[in-house]
Amino acid sequence: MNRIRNNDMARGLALIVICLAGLWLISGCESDPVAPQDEVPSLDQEDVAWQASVLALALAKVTPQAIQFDARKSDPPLSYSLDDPGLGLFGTVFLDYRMDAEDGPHATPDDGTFVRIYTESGELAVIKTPVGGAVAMTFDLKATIDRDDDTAVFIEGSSGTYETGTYEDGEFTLGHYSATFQLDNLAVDLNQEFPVAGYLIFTSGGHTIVVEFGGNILTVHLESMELTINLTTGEITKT
Amino acid sequence: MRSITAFSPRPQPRLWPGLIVLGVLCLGVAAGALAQDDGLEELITQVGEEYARGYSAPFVHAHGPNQNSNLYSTAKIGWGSLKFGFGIKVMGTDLHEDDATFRVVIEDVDLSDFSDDPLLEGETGDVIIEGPTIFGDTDTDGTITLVANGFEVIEDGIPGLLETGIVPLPTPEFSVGGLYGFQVTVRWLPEINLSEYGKSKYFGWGLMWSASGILPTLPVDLVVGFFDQELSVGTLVETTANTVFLGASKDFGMLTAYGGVASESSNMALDYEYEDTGDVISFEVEGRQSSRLTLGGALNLGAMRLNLEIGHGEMTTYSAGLMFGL
Repeated sequence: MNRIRNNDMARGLALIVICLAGLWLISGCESDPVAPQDEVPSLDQEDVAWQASVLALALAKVTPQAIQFDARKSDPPLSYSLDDPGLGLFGTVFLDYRMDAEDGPHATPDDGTFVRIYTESGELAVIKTPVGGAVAMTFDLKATIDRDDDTAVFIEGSSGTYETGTYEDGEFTLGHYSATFQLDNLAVDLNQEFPVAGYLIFTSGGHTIVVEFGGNILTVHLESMELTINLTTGEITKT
Repeated sequence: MRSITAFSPRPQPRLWPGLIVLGVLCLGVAAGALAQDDGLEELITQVGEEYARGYSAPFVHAHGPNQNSNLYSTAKIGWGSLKFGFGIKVMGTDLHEDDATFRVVIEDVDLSDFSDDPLLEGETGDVIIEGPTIFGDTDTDGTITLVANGFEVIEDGIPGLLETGIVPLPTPEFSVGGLYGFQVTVRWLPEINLSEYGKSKYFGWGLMWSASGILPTLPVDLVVGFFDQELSVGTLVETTANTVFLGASKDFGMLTAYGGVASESSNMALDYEYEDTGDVISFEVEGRQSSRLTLGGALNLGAMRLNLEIGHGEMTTYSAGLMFGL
């Protein structure tokens, strides 16, 4: 009789243990995450147009240096301070003048026929935005210089990166959005303050915006709106 | 006649004061961390409701599983003689690694509601609130990012309060039972003064009934019960936790194996004054966990019972108890 009872007890216990262990294994032991983890909002085409417009302001200041930069030195690094509080532009770019090509002999800004304008790692190039944030940019721009016409044209491979964030007290705090850009035949003239022709091709958040240079007023056309970039005043207006 | 095997007729009075003091200290420290300077009070009053909700989420959802843990360590309750028990229970709810940080996104809002910056006046955009949760990195501040026209204005948030992957809760426990299979259990602490937010209070009680007296031929002992608990840290935090459970246990000499299922709920309310605006912010969140499976084992050493337990529902809670009986 006792043996029968013991067998029943053992079977009962085994059943409970097996059931619980099975449920335990099926459910897994790790806790579910409970803190919210929302996705970063995606950008729309209008957002990207605003981003591209701010970069256009910076490029309008940087690219003419290919032909207008003044220095007697030939060995790099030649540096150009971007500081323009009115435009909200800060930082430094470097220039490397060569004869004929990127790997040609060193030259001065007066006689070089090729120039590379670039940002060094650790050196910021920042422009503030209309809403108070800032953008950190990197440049790797290459131009051929025509000394007869006193013009320079940025060639294929001129590109850079763009990251949004905040700039305060000399420090840039990185945000969530980044972009890349390329220049397409962007031309600058010794006697013109801003680029005279060419395009900025800006890609961010899956959208591409093309900004055409020429004169001091640029316009970005979208289906729903238009952005006007005044290179003289640094203002961007939506219409 | 059945009785609680862990409860010996020989009391150990020297342990009483020490255990009670330890329990009070443990919960006092926990409650104090919530309300003291540089504690939850100091941090949470610097942020608005949306930030507070994300920041406190692991705390909000872990307190319920903690409070509803380790409510029994045997399904065998006596039918003929009154027994008393006291001791300490320590619970720890495991957090998913993702819960060290949070991100809350609020889309298409008036950004001037979130910033005094005049450049954002009238701007509509998104707000990204992210950073360490209450149990995340204590050396890194969170951020509040205002996004307008694809640009970002980043403002400082608050750091984590306590960097841990386990949310702890210690509590003293007292029980009386042994008549007709019933047992009443109480978790209680005396009120503790906590700065301007007032006093902390903790009280919980539950009732269990064991079917062992009327179903003696079952291969295991069975128990059903409920437990109801309230914990408040002044006016800053108020929590409730409730559960009903069904458990079974089997003795193997000095060892008891037990397990069970439970349906449970919990709620946490936060109420504080936001420093920036002076607004009173008040919100409630229901705990995520609604049910659990429990497995545990107990070692019975005369008047002393030591038990270890794992409870798993939406979250996993580990707990231990050291109880003494007479």
